[in-house]
Amino acid sequence: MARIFKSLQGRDRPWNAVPKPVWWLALVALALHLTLHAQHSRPGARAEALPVSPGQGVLRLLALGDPVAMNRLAMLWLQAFDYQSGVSVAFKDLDPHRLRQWLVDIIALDPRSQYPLMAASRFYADIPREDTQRILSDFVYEQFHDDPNRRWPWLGHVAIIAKHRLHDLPLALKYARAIRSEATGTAVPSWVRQMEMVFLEDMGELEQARLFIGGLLASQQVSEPEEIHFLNQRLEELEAREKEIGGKGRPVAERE
Amino acid sequence: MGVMEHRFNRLGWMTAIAWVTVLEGIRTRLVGLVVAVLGVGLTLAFFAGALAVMEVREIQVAVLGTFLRLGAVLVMALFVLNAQVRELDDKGLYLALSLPIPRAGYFFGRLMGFSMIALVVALLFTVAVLFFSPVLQGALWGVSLFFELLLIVALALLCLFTFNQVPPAFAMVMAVYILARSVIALQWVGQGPINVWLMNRFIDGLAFVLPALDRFTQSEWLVYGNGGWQDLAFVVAQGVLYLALLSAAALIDLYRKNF
Repeated sequence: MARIFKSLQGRDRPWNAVPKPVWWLALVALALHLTLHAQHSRPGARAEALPVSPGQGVLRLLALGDPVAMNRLAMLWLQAFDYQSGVSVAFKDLDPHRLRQWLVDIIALDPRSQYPLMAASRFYADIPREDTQRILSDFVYEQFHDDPNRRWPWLGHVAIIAKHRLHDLPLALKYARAIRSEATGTAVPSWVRQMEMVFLEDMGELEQARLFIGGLLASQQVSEPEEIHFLNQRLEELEAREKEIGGKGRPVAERE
Repeated sequence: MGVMEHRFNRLGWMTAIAWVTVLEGIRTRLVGLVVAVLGVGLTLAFFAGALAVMEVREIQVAVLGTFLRLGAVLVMALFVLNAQVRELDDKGLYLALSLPIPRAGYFFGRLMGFSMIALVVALLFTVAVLFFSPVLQGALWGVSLFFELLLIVALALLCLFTFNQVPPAFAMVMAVYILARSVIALQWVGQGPINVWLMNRFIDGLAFVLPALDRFTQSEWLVYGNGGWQDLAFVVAQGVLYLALLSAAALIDLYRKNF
């Protein structure tokens, strides 16, 4: 470093060789520049500024033959509209249709990336706005079919959102059914497959829940003894509840 | 014996020209610039990793790989173009051609020198990438980057022999490079709703002539570790073949030049 400095010193004329007006010009220009910047407010995230996605074709062109890297960069860029500290409240104003189109185009660049689905289910589907939650949940559901054994966690998350945020149990049940029927890999935990049973119970569909457990046990999708024991226990509980209420599988709402 | 001695002299001259080229890289502080690009790339990668909520390593390595690849190409293209313009301005080329070596000897000497610099750049960048990726995949990425830089070196030499000035030569190098990387995407877009027969045939023609750089130095290898021997074989075969083609074109230009 010292050598570089010395060689630079040796090569250049001394500082005082620069005329004073040039120094003044530099100082005044710097001061004016800093003043100008001081007038500007800090840049914030602008929810309304989310543009329409240019489409997969343009994104592929911009990727310069490297869609995997483009997928990551585009996702970080999109995330910047939502994930800046202190402004997340404003993102309920994000246009959910545009957001969905961006996510569709980004995931098409690299279908193996889980990031767009994570963002859709964890960030955007959490926005307290029903249409956004529904549109993004539907995006996750649509994408789930392409790779169920890897994408089930995100559909599981939006199923929970459908139940607790949207209070739409039929929708939650639809997602849970999709997971149970399509995510058949060994890595999928059993509780995920049992979500359907929980939603059926919540809907008061006790008979269906009972049939679901019976079907699960008969299908031999369940192999762990503890799990079989647990399901048998739930089956007995359901039968007891059915006897207790007297109405075989009639939904709670109907009985009321 | 005389023939052997003559050949040895030619090789000696070529090696000397290559060594002068390497010295030029060292003395114009190219190493400093390369290290700066590396530093910026690593900073960007860590910054991107800090923004990410999941797939942190994948995002870091994709950002780093993309930045270093583009940085290496830009640095090498500008270095070759500048060095060659200086060679013309300082009459170094005239001096070299006044020696008892053919023009091809001068060209291959320069190419060899630039290739050695490209090798050092590729090695340095590969070491950085290896911190985030499996060793074999990182090595494949590095070999591919070296071949990509070889093509850029040869292309820059060809463009400078043709245009003699940096701005048009640089514009041409970048145009060819960007097209070579994105022509497959252009073909893909052409199959969509804006299907124009003539335009599509033109794009098909471009894809036929240009090297398939979209299959070189892929971030995919670093992110998913799915690069294999077939990728390596393709990179080497395509790299060697296109280097030969570019060298032949540059030699045609050099032999036809009137100094």
